[in-house]
Amino acid sequence: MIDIAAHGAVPDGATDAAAAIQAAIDAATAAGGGTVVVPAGQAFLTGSFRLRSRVTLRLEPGSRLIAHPDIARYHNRTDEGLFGSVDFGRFWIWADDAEDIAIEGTGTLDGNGQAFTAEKRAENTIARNPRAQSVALFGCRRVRIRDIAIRNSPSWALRPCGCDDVVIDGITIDSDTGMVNTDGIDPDCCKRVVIRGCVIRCGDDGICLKTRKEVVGRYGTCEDIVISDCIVQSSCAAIKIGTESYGDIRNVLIRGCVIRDSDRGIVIDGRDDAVIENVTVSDCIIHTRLSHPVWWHEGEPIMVCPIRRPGGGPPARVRNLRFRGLAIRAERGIYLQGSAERPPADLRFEDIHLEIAPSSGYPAGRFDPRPCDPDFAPSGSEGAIERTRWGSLWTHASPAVFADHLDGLALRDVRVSWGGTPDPASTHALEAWHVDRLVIDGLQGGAARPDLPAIVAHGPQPTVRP
Amino acid sequence: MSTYDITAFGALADPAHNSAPAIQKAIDAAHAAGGGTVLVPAGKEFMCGSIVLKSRVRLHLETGAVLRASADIGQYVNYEHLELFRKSDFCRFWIFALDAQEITIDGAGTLDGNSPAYVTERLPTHTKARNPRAQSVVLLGCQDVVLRGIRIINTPSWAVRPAGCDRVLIDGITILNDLGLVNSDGIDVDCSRSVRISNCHIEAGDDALSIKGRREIAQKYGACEDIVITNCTLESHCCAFRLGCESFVDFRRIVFADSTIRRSHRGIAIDCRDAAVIEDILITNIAVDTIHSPRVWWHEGEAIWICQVPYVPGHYGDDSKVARLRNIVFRDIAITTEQGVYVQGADGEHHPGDILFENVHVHLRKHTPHPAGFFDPRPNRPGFAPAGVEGVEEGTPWGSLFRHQLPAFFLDRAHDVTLRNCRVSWAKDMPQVYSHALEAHATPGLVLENFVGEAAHAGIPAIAVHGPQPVVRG
Repeated sequence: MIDIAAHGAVPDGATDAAAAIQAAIDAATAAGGGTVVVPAGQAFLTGSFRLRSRVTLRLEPGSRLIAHPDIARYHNRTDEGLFGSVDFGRFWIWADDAEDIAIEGTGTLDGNGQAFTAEKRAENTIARNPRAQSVALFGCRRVRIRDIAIRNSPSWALRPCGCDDVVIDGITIDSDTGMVNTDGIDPDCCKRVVIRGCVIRCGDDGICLKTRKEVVGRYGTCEDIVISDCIVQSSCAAIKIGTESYGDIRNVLIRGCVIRDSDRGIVIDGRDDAVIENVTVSDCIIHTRLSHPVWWHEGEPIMVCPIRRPGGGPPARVRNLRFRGLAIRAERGIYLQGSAERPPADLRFEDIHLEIAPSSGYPAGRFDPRPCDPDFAPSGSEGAIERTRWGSLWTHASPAVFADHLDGLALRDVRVSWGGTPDPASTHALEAWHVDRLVIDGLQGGAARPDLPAIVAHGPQPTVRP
Repeated sequence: MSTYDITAFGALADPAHNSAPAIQKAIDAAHAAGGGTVLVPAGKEFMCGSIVLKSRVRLHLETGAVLRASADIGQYVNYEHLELFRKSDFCRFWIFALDAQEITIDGAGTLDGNSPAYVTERLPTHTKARNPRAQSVVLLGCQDVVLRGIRIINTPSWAVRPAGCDRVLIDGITILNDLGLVNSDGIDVDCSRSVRISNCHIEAGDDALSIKGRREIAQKYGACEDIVITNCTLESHCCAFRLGCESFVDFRRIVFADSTIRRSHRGIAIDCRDAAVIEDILITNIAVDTIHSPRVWWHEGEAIWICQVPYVPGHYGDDSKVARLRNIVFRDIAITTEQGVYVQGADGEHHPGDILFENVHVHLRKHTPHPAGFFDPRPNRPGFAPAGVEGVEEGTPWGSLFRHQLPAFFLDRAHDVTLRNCRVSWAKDMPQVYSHALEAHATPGLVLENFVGEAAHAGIPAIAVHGPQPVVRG
């Protein structure tokens, strides 16, 4: 056990403890491994430091590491081709090519998001850039993060990137729900990751699996991921795969999670040319709602949307997605958006209870497939509400399930109900366009209004069993 | 200093010495320092009365360490003085925290509630104990609570009660209580939010794992929301898993999954009596083994029990209030039991509904000597009877135990119940009291999809539905 205070860290809230913490970590790794302790009840201001192999960073009860407000004191990899982006090239607590590393204990990592806040508004928070990601681990093996809280992160809270054999267990992430880019956990090009029992509340995506362009060449695919028993609230997507899919993402199991009060529930995006396959989502409860138009989300409880970026190449090839045993309460329906060039294949929804009821006061009837070409419109759109170079927002009827350009969709034992006074845009139980191999087996419930049919299919006609 | 060894503050590993003042000093010192670990050293046993955990204190029980609760109720703090507990029987607590943050109890040691000290008589059927008794770990109005790895044994009343808490993690704890002792619940989640309970083994005389909203704290602390319970093994002489009994707050977004229930007197219970909304409840992938009980227990071995019968007015709840169930799902439940699935409503507005049973396989066998042939909706108001009763076996001021044939599924005055891919099977030579695969009374909106099952005996119809007839598919 190596106490950072023994290496000169001073808990006065003003002195940068980074050098002392680094000295403690370096001493531990030089000794073949050890535990570096942030002592109980003490708060240390610190710039960046680097975790090393066989070192456990232990946050004792009531301890806090507070991120330094001076961005110059952060690890900066913006000059490396690998991390080229200005937004995502600064890191607070980081590691590179380490093994057997852990962060544990019930203390807090405080990302000091307030220091990177320009303005707090009712509908969102305007950030001051550049900001740093709070915990970023690159190319590490055997990583364990347990019990800690990461609060007020100004950007992504936890980014295992190119890491293998990662366990994230029982941590709390609590960030400004008004600030974009405050993702919770972003496994990026990782293999064998377990995320369980975490409570996440944040402004951007809660848990997001991805394969980013700048790292995919080095670290490759994202595979074999289990996400279970988590409680997630996000002003974007609670649990997402994408938006970046520069490498394959496969074998993902999402189970027993509660998604509450989020703009989007479970999203599979995939804007880039790779494969996203074998994703199982089971036994989850999902509550989503509409929000202020400043946010790019429309309350979708489930969204699958692999389409081209604006000016981009072909999107991801998505196949074999299974959704089973979901209890959904949302302000709008499930949104499945493919394209003619890469229709997502083999989507199966089984035992889904979908109740759609207004709750926020914001209107439904808007489809938001962004980012995409400004001319890309979901089939059946009635006109653009807003056009930007990142894509357009469309007026569109709001069915319980919307499916456009898919290759194989099975809905089995899906129950649709409309609660309260349905939004005037509410229409069918299912609206399908260009869906091959559409099978509807045991659909319960119907359209929002008695004058509308439950099912409308344009193009191939569905096989319907009672 | 990060670690506060209780022996450095005067705790003595002497069973006659109350170490509570010393442990409290260690806790207070850790708290005053902004946080710290209070250490109960390995392999030693300490006796203590009440202690109060404070913010940012971790109580760490080293391997083999034991804290044993005092046998002297006079050494427990009586929190009757807190307005919240003024009208409550449950106002004595052993390990308590109030309005604290970042509380942890962990390690491979043991908290021993010392229930034998309260026992007045051990009978073959149950254990008698004297009152008052203390609840063991009670955390009231706390945030960021972690309980990990510890063993809790012999609690004379509830073992663990997070009440009015936010962000609670309970992982890998073991609770071993006297299976004969009433009120020795395992974990009672009371008016709390963002709760994760995983990898726990619980044996308890009363409910093993219960979610509730008790009257005295309901108004201050509000709903039970966002609760995930997975990978637990449960055994109880009351309900292994229970929602309600006291439901003075709403329950919503609760997952109970991937768990087993063994030799319990009732498996999964939803008591919807008080004026709560109970919605979006997923109970999936559970293996259930339930058995009949000796007469002294209020349970009849029901694998699943949903009851919306009003209470005795003024006793438990408010007779005028009605609970509402919305979207209750039981999926992938494998049951071996002496009594099946029981859904009980009453007249007036008391109709449980919007319930899906999917892939629920009920195998009935009768292998214990305990009496069979009874329905027990207690506690309930006098005069209430399930449909089809054959007489009152036992009357009490809290309602009656009724003689009744035993179908595998029994639905009475429920609404909008779907049985999809459910299956009933029977062991050979079942006693005559077992009857239909399904018996339903006054249950509009009943849907049977691919329901497979015969009656227990030849000459009895598999399905007996009185009142509105079901929609049958497959």
